[in-house]
Amino acid sequence: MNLSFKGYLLLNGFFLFFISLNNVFNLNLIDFTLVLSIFLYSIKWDESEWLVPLFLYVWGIFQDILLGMNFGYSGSIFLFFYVLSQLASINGLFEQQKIKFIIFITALLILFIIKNLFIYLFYQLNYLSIDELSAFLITVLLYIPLNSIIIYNQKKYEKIR
Amino acid sequence: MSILIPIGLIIFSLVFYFGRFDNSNFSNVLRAKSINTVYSISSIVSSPISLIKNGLESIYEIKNIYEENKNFKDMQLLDSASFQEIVSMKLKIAQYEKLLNASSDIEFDFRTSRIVGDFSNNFNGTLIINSGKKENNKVDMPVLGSNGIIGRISQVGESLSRVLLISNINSRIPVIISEDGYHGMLIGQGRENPTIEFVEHIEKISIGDLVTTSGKGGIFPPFQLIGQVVGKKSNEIEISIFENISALSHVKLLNYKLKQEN
Repeated sequence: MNLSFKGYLLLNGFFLFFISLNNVFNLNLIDFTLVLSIFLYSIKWDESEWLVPLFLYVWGIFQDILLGMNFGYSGSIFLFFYVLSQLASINGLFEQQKIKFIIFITALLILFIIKNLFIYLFYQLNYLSIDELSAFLITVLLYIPLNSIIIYNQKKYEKIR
Repeated sequence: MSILIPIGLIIFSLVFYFGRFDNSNFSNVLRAKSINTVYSISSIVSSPISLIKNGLESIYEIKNIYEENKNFKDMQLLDSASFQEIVSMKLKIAQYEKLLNASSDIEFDFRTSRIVGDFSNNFNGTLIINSGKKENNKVDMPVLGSNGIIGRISQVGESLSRVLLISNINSRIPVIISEDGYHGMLIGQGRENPTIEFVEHIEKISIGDLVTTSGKGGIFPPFQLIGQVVGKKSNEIEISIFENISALSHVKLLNYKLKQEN
């Protein structure tokens, strides 16, 4: 996706709106950081794109300040899924939806393990719980409809162009 | 080539995160200075959704008022009995203190603040309240709900402050358990119930025992209710806190100090 000035504005507006939803909803089962990551992974970014990662980094810090998380937490998750999307695109896996889905689940699982391992090692705390697992499963389930919507819109956008 | 930029930024973010720069003064100042701006922008952007959500919640609340009213009427009898009990206990304590010539060494003063941001659902559970430096809020001020301690202030902005909840995995509070006053350290567990570790005579503690602050460390005043014991393992105790944090709309900020000797 090659973005115009208007496109950048819309994209940043979307990031801001989505991050701001944390202000309204305090849900145990839906992690908005991961839901936003679905969008970042599902969109086919232009390979020469270099401004979007910088925006993502800034929005990550913005979200960390808002939620009171340690600096770098949200930014690294956003950028991780952005890089994954770029790698899938470079290797020609973007059109193969099944492989793309498996990569997403694997990435989510890696993130889940790292997060829980970090909490265990730094805080001596076993953070694994039903809520935590449910949030993970709901993100996996949300991927299917959100990815379909994004693919549909992106194809429509490309046709118009 | 362009893929190197996000990879570099990920490495930078991870160094930031695992290096735990949040403990530095720079990070605290940055957070305190930016929280007002960040919160204001995000609340403006989310205001339409917030309006819809609040409207729906109000309809739901109105629906529940009848039922609540009925329950309150039923509870009135019980409450009057426990009120009598509290009054007689207070009188007894006052008499004992007089007999022991003990002086009350703590002065309490509190003010109320409204919760404007609730981020209690993750492992870094925090709240944002609508008072800050202007209202003379200070870092480490104890924060109470209507039923007991819920945390302490961790950052103070111009007109907003952040409350670090007792469920936050960074939270550590010295507590005493049961009437016999066994000491321990209350540790936040994120979404799960908090636990108490380093407990002396753990075998003498029973399910249902009350947990209060011990006053050690000087941040929290002693004997403030927190919760009660709901589970026991070989080296730790699980407690359920009295306050339902997600149902709170206001909190009390406790301004306490030891009484000055005359």
